[in-house]
Amino acid sequence: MTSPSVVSESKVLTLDTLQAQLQKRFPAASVRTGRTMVQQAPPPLPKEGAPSPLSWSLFQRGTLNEVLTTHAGLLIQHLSRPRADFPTVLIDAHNSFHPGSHTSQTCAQLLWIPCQNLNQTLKCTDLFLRDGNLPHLLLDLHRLSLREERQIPRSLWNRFHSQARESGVTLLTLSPRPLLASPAQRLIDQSHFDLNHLEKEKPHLQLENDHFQNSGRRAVAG
Amino acid sequence: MYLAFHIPVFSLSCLHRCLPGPAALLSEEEQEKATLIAVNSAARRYQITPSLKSTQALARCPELQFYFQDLKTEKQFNTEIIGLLETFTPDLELTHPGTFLLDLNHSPAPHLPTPILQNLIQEARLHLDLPFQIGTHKTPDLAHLYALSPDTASTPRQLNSRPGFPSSLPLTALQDTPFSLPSLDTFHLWGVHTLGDFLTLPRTGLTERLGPAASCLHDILSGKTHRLLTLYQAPEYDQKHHHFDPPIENLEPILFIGKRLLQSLCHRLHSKHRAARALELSLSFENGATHMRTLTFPTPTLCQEVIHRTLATHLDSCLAPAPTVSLHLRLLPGPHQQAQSHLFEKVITDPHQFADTLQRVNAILGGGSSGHAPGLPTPPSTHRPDHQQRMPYRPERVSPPRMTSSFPTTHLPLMSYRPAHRVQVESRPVPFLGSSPPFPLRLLTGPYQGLIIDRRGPFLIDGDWWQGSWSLSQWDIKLTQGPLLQLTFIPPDSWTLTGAYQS
Repeated sequence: MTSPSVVSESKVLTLDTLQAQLQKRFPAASVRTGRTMVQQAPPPLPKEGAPSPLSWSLFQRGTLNEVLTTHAGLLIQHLSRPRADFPTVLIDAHNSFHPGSHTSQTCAQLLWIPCQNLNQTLKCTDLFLRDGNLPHLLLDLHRLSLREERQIPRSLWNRFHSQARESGVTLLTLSPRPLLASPAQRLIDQSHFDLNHLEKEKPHLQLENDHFQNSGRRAVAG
Repeated sequence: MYLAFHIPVFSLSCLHRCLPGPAALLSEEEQEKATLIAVNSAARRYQITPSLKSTQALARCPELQFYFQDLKTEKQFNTEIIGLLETFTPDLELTHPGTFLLDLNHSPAPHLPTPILQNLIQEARLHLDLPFQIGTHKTPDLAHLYALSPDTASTPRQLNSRPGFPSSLPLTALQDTPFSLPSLDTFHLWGVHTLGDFLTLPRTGLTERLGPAASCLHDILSGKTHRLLTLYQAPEYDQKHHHFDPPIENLEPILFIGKRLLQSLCHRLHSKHRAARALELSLSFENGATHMRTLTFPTPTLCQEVIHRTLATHLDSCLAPAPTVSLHLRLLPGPHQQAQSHLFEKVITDPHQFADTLQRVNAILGGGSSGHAPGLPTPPSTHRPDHQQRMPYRPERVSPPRMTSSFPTTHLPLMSYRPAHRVQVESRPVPFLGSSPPFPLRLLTGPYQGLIIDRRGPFLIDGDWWQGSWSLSQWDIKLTQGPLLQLTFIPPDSWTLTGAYQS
């Protein structure tokens, strides 16, 4: 005969366990449960040669993520795929997006916010995070200088984090160096291109998970 | 529930707010032949009644003050009172000069009107500066009767609808009202002085002796009559105007007045079963300048908060050249939008909030005038480098916007430098081809400097040959260290870095 305390421990499910089980069975459902986020491992990156390209489904809803890259244009192209429900908001910190380099289908899936300085960029990001009507926000900071980087207060990312959690907007920053203190996912772009990739060879994006965050997984998208 | 808003001796009160002594209003300019058309309560104590000649009135009270009727001032007060009352309900009747009946049955809280009424009393005291009395009842006529006397009128603490009728109201208070009885002296002879006394009389006997007016009042008092209001219809129901005196220098008063105007405009549109599809705003400034703008809503709405927020966001981004003199608002009416949500199609959850966000973003970026408005990027229809064009994003659009087909010439997208960096380039001319662009060898200045180790080009581009023609040549270059760059040669001798394929 088992003691009552043993029965209660074995049969009673804690809230965390229940949430984890629900998360496992219904991954597409909302990941937000009140103020606490269920700890969930990021979805795996597509394996090398897999047809699935880089997309927003790699990132959890309502989180801040970042990609360390020098190929912002190529990433924008991958993340604004046609036939999406909503366009991706592109907050262009240095007004560098070049529509002539993209197809009309890509352009139709982007809401371009051409900013002139960092102040405008952060204000617009704040507004779209609070608004929450468009679920995907791409913050292009790939030309951010070290001087500009120092102007961004650390507390701002905490605020963005809580706003994203409240509104369910996924923010992805494109920057040459790590900016976010604790992103939900940090990918590092390891690809290298030369002049041949402009015309002759098709460029393939090589993204790796940050080793400090997750176990290294390598993928090719393109 | 109905509410009667009554201003005692309206014509006199409009001329002078407070008249402690006996006063009378004359109909004509010549005082000696004129007939009294209104008298205050102090004058009534001297048995002075309307329709007396001025000389007769002076004989009864030598201290009597005469005033001449000013129809313009009365009309102005009338408009002001209607404007105030319309902020509470669009269903109102101009029952009698100085008396307004409000139907509160369609107000947001018909069973709990106390906060509404307290608010009304507060607003009326603040803006009108006229003595007024309020009566509430389930029937309009009894509400009117309650409001006729200060003894029976409702106080701010006692605003709930009361049963019965104002039994203590004297019959003399009914003079110059729609309930006035033809033979008041007869009632005095009978010893009938108040409405309570009047209701004790048998109805059939009253009709036989005094006619239908008495029986009609009897029916009202006994609650048998519940008439419909003849609702007031504003001639220009979709617009309102406010003149600031003195002119306003900051935004808050404009927003405060704007809120009041929008409140009554929304009520008017609601009573006509319409919604607002756009807001026309017109501001006049002291220096004669005007600011006119039409603010379109993503979907027709009657939500005052949404409309007011749109107005506030717009005014936030405006600079007034001089103090503001007047504000004119017009809600363009449209049908209510009725859309069925689709199971497999996601739509923007709050289009008004999104439109507001876009407007704010637009203001942050400097508005459309700076050329940095948010929008869908459009592939250029010309080969001229860095030709920017954006299409405004409309979330309500079902099909994707039509754009000209674009086929990028490179696999790697370019990221532009705006403005382009002017650089010094070491180059050599191409032998045997005098008109060809020079061949770049090394970048001498600019953000990236060094020897060019690989290059593609030149790509010769020109256009507008029929007017102000331009031509240039582009190179894609690779340095010993640094990103892949796009270098442009603009004849006769200038070089610019127009973009980078990687940073």
